[in-house]
Amino acid sequence: MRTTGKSGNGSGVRWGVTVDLKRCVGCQSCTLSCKAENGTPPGVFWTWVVEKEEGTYPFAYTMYMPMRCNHCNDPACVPVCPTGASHQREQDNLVLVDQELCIGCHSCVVACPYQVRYIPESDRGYYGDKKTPYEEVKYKGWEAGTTQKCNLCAPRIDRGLKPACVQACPTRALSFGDLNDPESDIVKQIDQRKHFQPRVELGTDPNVYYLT
Amino acid sequence: MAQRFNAQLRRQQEWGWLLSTWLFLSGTGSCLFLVYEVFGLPVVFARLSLGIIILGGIVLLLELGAPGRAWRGVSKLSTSWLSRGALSVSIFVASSALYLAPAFPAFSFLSWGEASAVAKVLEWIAILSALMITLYPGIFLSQNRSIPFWNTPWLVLAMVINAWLGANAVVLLGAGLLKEGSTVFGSLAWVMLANIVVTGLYLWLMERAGGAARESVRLLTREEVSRAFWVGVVLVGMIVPLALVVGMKSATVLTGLCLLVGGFLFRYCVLKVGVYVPSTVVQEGVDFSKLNRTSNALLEKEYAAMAANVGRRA
Repeated sequence: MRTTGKSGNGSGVRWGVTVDLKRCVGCQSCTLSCKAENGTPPGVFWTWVVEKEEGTYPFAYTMYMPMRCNHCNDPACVPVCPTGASHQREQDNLVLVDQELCIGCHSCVVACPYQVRYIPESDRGYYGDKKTPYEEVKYKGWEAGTTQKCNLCAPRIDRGLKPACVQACPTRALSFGDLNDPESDIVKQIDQRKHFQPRVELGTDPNVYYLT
Repeated sequence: MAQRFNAQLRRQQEWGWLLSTWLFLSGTGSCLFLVYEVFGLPVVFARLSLGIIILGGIVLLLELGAPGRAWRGVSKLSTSWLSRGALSVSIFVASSALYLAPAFPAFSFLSWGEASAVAKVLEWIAILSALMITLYPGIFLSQNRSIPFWNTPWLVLAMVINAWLGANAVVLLGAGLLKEGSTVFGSLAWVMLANIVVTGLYLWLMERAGGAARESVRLLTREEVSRAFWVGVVLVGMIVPLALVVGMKSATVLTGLCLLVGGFLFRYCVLKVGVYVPSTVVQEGVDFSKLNRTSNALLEKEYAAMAANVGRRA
């Protein structure tokens, strides 16, 4: 795996995700696998699937749209951070939060147009103050009062694995790869299919592509 | 089909009373120092300014999720307005405290007099940092691309005018309660008028912008905080004080109180109606009904055949 190069400038690794809206069936496997992998607090989901009914009887249907951090090339959340806690990783484009630097000012939470940043007020688990053994382990990965968000499973990526949500998707609606590698599957998908980047007009240059 | 996804509008839930209080105190306190300098007011107003800014800093600390490491807040001066603001507050507190200290008996050992070069340098540093503190909260909010209602220089202008009015309100209270300072300033009525015009233009432009900005105006004027806006900001904060300044110049305390209430509620209302651009983001023109599903025409044919079969069986 390449680990050099500057983020989002076309010369190094630029991790991206494609979401095939034709394949997504709204099973929430990505939501659950993210929860299991990252042990996020109650009520916080780093990725989830929006579900919406459209049309009218007898031509009604449900639409599914997985939502997540877009790990933008020009993220709105990073420059507003007064401490540098929100940053883009040097070796790639991942937008991460160093919770030991974060002061919990909420600036990044408000600045993110995708509303995918969270500040849990406490570290209470799903069953109150007493944590489950799983929570005891996983909750050490984040700190109450500071920002947390999808890290695209950076620890897994660093071990050469796919993000948990991509791994778990049963319909292969989610794909992951290097957007700077013309031979990668996701670049080919983007070349071949109609697609859009969410809220691209805000100038954030997201690295999540929705295939339509 | 994408339109319904894109119509989902959500208000920001992160900031409320505490941040409004910080915006109010930092704006009022910093501008009070500027007003003190511009109008040559008694030194008590400079001391008040310092006190208000320190109080604002304490309120901001309460807002933080991890206040113990607030000192890190000055680490990103190159990009973050919050960082620049935090540094300005620190410089202001230090420079104005040193500038004002010799007047207190406990600090009489500090040798610089009011006209000395050291005092002048400290005074100018305090003036420049106060100017920065007046400007940065509005710029900090207006940097948010996610909330169109804030993402405009009109908000910066409105915040600066409100800060100026807040400082004048403190001076009016001082004139009434402490028997110090000026009575009503000649320019105050014009600034109040400017406030009304700028606020009106700001809301009108946001209404015309449509989308999330229009939703913010709707929440402000018809839903959620409309009572606080119409009664608190418009009536108490704009109309009543303007009438008092024009028609009853002796009512300095009441005018000052009205301006302070209106200024505080203005910040509160603006924060509360910050509506995000829709987060369920679908590019215009994407038709979900065409996503690998049986086309409506085929379904229609299928249903027609079923209906015909049902008709035959009947």
